[in-house]
Amino acid sequence: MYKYKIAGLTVAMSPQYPTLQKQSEPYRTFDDAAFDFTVDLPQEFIEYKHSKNPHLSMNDCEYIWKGFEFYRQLPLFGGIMLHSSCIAMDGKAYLFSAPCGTGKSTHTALWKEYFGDRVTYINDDKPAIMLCDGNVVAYGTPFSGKTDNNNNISAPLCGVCLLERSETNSIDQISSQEAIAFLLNQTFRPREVGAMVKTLDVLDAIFKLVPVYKLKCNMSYDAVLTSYNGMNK
Amino acid sequence: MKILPGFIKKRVGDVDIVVAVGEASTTFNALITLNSSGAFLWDKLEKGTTEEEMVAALLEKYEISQEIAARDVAKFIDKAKGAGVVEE
Repeated sequence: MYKYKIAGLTVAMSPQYPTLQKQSEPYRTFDDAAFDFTVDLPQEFIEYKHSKNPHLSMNDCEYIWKGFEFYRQLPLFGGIMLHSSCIAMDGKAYLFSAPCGTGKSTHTALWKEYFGDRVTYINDDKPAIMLCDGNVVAYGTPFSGKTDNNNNISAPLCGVCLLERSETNSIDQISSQEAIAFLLNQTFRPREVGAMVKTLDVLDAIFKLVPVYKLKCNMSYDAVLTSYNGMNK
Repeated sequence: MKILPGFIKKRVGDVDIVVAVGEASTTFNALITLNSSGAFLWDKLEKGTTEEEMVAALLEKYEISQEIAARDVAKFIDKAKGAGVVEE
């Protein structure tokens, strides 16, 4: 087992295949902190998933399912994953959430094109959102879906956009009532009551501390300016 | 009349929601949002109560008529039964 520092937590993990080995390397640590938890799955489990998903290699299965195992344990440590594209700019984290295929990665890619090196990916698929000392912080993790757009960085979360495709660009702040169903669908819903309560605690903190917006946008630089200016009024 | 085991109510931001955990979550994967009187009635049902007690509690809490209280409680119970969250 190697030691990793992910989302502020000390994690034991033993990557067997190239993708997870490569993605987790920037998170390796050699300090003497005690382990918070272990991310481990029996080889038979990975083989089982591979047999059920023949279009996925063993490499892909390890990456996907060890990722799930990491996020499954996260609520017990005060964090959740949000299916979203999350970027950092000027020390602030911005998160764009939507179901697959809506265009969140397209939107953050446009931010990167427009603002250049001021923008760094935190995680283009599943950032870890942690509640730390009363602050909501977005962290990179090794698990970033189909791309390797993740970095071992963190930033305070300053805006959450629920993204929707539209011909014209607009951004409006919305209430927790309007956002809760959407956001709960973009995270794991634990079956165990303790983990569920902690998940809801993090969502509660997000709503209390971070403005949440409905962003309707097209694929233009004007969309970038709409979301950036809207979140930095 | 009581809420079935496995449903938890929690305030998230400025809204009260109900989700299922444990056994209940294998068949119930929706999300219920409650307004303030709904949350109040939910709390009563969670401890176990009757329709009459719920009407009395609403009348004590809010300045409304007997008719409106009875109608609101009946509507709430109907929705709760329809959602499958209540045992008799």
